[in-house]
Amino acid sequence: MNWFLRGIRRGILTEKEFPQVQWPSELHRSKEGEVKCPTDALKEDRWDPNRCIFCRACEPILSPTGRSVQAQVKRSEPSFRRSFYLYPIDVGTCGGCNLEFRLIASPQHDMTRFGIFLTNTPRHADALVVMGVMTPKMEEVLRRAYDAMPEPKLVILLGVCAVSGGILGMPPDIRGDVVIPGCPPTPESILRALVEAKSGE
Amino acid sequence: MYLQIDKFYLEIVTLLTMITALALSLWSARASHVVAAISSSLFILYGLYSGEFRVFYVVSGLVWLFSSTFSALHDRERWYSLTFSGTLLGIMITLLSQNYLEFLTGWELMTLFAYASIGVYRREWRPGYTFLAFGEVSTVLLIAGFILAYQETGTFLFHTLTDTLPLWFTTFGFTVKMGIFPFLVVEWLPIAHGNAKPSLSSVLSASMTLAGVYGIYKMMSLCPQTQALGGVLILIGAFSVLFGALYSYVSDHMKGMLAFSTIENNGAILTALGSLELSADPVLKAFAQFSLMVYVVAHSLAKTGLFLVTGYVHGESMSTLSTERSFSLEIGTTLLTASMSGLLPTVGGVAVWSLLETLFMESISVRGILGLIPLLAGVMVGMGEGFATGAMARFTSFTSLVRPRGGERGRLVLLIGVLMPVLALLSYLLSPEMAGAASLGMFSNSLIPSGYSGGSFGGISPLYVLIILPILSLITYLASGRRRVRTVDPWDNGSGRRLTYTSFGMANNIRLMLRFVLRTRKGAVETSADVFWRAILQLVRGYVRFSRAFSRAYMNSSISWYMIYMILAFIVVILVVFL
Amino acid sequence: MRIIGDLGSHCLTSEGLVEGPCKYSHPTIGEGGYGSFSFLYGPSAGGLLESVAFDILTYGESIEDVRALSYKTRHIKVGGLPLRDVLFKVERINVPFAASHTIAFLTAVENALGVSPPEEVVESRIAQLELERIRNNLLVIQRLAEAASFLVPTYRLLYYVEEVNRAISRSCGHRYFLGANYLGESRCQGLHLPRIDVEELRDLLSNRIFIDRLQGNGVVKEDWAIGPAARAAGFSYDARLEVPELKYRDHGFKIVTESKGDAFSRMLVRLEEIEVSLKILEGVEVKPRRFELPLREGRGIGRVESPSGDLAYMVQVEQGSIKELHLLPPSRINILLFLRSMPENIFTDFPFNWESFGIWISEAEVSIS
Repeated sequence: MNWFLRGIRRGILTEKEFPQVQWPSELHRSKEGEVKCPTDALKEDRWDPNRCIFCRACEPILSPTGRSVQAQVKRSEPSFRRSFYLYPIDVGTCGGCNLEFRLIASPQHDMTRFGIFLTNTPRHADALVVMGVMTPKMEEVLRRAYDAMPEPKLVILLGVCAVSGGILGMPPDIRGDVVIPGCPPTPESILRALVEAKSGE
Repeated sequence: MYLQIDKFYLEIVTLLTMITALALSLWSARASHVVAAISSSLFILYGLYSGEFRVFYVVSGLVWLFSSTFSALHDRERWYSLTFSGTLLGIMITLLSQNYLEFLTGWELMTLFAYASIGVYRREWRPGYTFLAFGEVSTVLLIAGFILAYQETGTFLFHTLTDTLPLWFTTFGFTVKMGIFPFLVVEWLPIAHGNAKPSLSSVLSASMTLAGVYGIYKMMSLCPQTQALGGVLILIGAFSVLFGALYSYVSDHMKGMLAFSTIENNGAILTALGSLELSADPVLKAFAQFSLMVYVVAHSLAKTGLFLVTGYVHGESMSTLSTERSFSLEIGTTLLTASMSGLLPTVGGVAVWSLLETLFMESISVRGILGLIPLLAGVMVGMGEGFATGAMARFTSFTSLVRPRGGERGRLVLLIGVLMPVLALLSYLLSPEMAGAASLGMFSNSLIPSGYSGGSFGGISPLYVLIILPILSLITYLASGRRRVRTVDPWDNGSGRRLTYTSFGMANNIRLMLRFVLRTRKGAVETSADVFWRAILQLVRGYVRFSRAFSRAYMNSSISWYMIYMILAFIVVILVVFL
Repeated sequence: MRIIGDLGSHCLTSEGLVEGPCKYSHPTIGEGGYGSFSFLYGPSAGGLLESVAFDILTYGESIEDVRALSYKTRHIKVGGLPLRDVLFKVERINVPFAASHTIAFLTAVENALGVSPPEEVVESRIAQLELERIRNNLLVIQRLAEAASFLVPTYRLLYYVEEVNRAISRSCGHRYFLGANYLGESRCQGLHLPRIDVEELRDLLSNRIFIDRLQGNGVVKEDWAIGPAARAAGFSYDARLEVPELKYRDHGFKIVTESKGDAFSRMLVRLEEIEVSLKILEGVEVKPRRFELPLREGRGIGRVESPSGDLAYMVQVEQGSIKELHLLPPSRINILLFLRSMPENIFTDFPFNWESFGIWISEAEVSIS
């Protein structure tokens, strides 16, 4: 009861605007110069967020803007507008994506206000959230989880490992409908991508 | 056209047919079983024309009919048909007896043939010994009771008595045979360890124990009412319900768990008998009578069906047995276990409901401290039924539902299963009263009300449930239509290992939670139920030792001598019946 | 002397390396009797934060024996790579413990090269380790509350975890310290302390239903335990007292111990350590600072007290590249402790005991070549 009352007394903690994060955020070139990027995220002067691990090796030639890294939503599904159930699957993470993904449920972010929920089985899931680099034994698990999901379904690649393999390995062999770069992506960029994927505001 | 059948001739013909079955067994097992089935049918016919004990006769006849039909289809050993038809004959004589001597003769015949049947199968005599030892204890108590009755009336004929002592003696004699706590080894041990054949198991469990109920009921009708006995019977019965169901829940032996379930059912029947004896209110008495009869019908037939199910299964342990399911077995077993679990719209549902209603009505109408007894019993019965539901769900799952599909077997089980909702409808015929509740859509006479002189208490309508269930399903189906069906593998956390759970595992929660009651030993091979019967066996070791000494002196430990004893006993029976 | 764990082919102890492997007593392996079967939890199940599977020998409900099956083993190549690239990979072995990993790795490299970092770098590293500890301890307690479906505290704790992440982001630019430490450089700028009401967290201890789940669950008494698991069992083991590079003693560090060794004691230790860490942070100043790393050859060990216990790296450096690298992650020891403390419990106890160790599969199952 104590917890309940105190919870009420603290008021609403959910935020509309989130504080800026420097790393990871959209990078822009602020100086001329040669950069030795460990993941080839810089090719012909173009910065590719899908390859960037935000290691700061390119600093100060490239510098962070503080703007949340933009996710690519290739396909959204209007039928998930009111409720969007996610099943996360870790195919070989460092734990960072797992934790940032968990934090979209924190009171500051509160995913449920957008009708986003987690489920404990892919059989009830609308979207599969894939995190990490591909590891041999998880390949079959990933395929089983995908097969177990009902149609329509979305695949969300979360974090640079799942998108391009990052610095540690190869990405999982699955086509992503939503691609969220970042190492790890911030809860803000995850939340924005999810809301867009469910055709929300 | 009114068909007049002379009851006496029908009785003679029925008995002669069963004796023929016994004789035929020396020549052909199948012929013997077929004739036994014919005799059972004749007995049902005879029962329909009987008065007060109609339910006992018809139900016993049905049990025999189903089990001998099953035997005719599946059993080929001549020794088995001999002992089987002998057991049936013994019970038949008991039920038809007109005096104490005939009754005892039938009783003894039944005990001996059943003993031989348990012992000959697999040549393991220990369970048989125990069975026989308790059989003799029961007989001694019966003889004592009957002698007391004889002293009072000066005749062996069933005659109204003024003393309650014969009732006390005989009642305990009968409860020994019913395998009620603490005599449950009688029931459980031979079935589980002797591994009697399915048809004999069903006769032992459904029909032989019913003979005990019949005996108590008969003696009650002769003796004056004694509230003390009523209270004692209610308590012993309710205790048996709770513990029978609990041990059934934790037992992993397929027939063992059914045997424990029989103890539970017999406990419930005993509770019904006790409440009949406890109450002086004629309205309530009529309702108690109703619940007793419905329970007798529900238990005997469902249990017969369930024991026959075990005939389609290879192995004895619920966790390791192998079998295939068929449409008939699936539906049949589900209906039978639904009835055993006390679910509507089966006859078991009516039975459990009416028993609980009886107990709770008595707890408010019986005055003084005695009123607490039915209240306590009601609570125990309620808890027991909960365990029973769990045990039965496990039984259906592991003998049928979770098994691979194959073949078309078990039509007999389906037939008995379908009887469960049909009998729920027939229970209207036994009800002392019928009513309607138009406001709920239950029209005239479709409601079985429970009530006592102080007022009405509750009501139930099997017909309503039976009609409304398919209608609601149909409405749902019509409203939602046939949906797209997608078949996927069960989600086994992505491991591809097809997660499984054993029957033992399903019951282990109770084993762990009640480890002090059940004396669960971690990691032990035996189930806690085994531990329990060993404790009981220690208590009654005296009986067993007595029985060994007794049987050595009496029958010289040799099968041929038992056979000679039985033939002699048989000749005596024939003489007694015909002279 | 105490055993810390296997580091390469040696055994690391509090007194240094000895010929390995470490000598552990062999656990008794449970055997299944009649009715027992093996029940698989994982690899991908709702209650697990990471992918891992447990093969549980059970009679139903009971847990007789548990084996852990690895599913997400990552193979990371470091041999022959320049220090910079290895650092990027080390940072990403276990991001929730990124500061611990990076600082242990950099300490090992500095020891190999015979360099002592300046005072400012040491202070910054202490600040990072303690912020990481606070975040992780909050997370462990949050996972425990979540396992009990104790929802208001669950979300209050998630709130605090997010607050700590924000404080770290403001101090060091990244929510998980990635890029905050570099070869010969510490980049954190200023220290922003999260506001945490420790009294509010203590309220968890007044909930009987919750603590019943933890008390007596997963008792650890092994003398080779590490981190909060060891301290909960009454052993005063802490790398912060034993390692000379980080001068914790100057910051009023006090060790917290409990005696019972169960999941509840582990939670108590973590709860108290949040307060201890906040105290340490009060006296720490964080400034960016660079220093020179010479191009030498050598071999060195670096050890820190990660939120879940000793974490150590051993490196061999040659011409600015890594010749050899060995890792001792705390989760590897904690998994052993967890598996040994699980038999004789029931299924319901599983998540509470599991979460109480603060294990990360990512670092336990990584294979480095």
